[in-house]
Amino acid sequence: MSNSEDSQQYLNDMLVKEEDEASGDDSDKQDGGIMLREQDRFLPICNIIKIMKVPVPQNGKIAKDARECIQECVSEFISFISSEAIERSVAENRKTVNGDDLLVAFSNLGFDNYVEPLSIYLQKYRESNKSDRNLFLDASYPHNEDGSSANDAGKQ
Amino acid sequence: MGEPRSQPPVERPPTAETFLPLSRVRTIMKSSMDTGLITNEVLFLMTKCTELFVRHLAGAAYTEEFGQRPGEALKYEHLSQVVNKNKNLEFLLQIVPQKIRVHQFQEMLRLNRSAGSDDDDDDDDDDDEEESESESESDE
Repeated sequence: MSNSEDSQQYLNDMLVKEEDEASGDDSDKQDGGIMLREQDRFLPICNIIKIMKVPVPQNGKIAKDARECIQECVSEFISFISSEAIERSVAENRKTVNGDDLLVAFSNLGFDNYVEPLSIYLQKYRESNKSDRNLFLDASYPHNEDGSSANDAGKQ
Repeated sequence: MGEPRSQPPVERPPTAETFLPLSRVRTIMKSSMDTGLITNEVLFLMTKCTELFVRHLAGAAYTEEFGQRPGEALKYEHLSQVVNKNKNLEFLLQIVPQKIRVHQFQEMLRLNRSAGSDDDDDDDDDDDEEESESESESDE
């Protein structure tokens, strides 16, 4: 439903605003490309910490240097994948990056273990666009994600 | 900082909601693309995969060092070890270098200058600065 989507976007925007206000960092120059303010280069650290806590056992702590380190890793990850995805769409003379470009990018860059959950998200996303958006929210879902995580842990 | 949780956060089933702000993800994506447009589909998927990436990286770093032992503290060096071990995380080596002592760093600088500049990348310059700062902090 468009209302819930707008609400979600509104909440996200509010969060971004709060982050902007909270951040006192100086602006940071980047060579080439768009010049981004420091607070735009990174995702909000409180959100990242919430996600980091999921795989860390009970009462596990995350040191400040690890939080900030992952914050930078995340931005680099997004840039890395994005650059790869855009190359494919450009090679095929398309201006728009699509979900399949992203799938191929993950595969090309050695993140094969992300392709399966990504495919599932992509499928669900497209289904939800075709019909009622609530379908995504209501769908019961096998925990392939857990399976992938377990596989990841095994490979390390 | 802050109180440790008494209960681990419950894993959420996949939903259309994201932990991370889509607008910020879009900004980061656009900054690394000279051209091209991003569909909402791609933006959503990138955000979801970024969440998976964070979980995977944090989980691997913790497990590598502590197994499933509760109550330990995840630190930079644990992340650095994971990044150095995994081939598909090579793109993070410049972001998460392993720490070295200042005199080692100075020696590296000396060798670099005498050998001439093999690396002209600006990224390398940034790395030098970061390492320098890092070492200063560790010495304090």
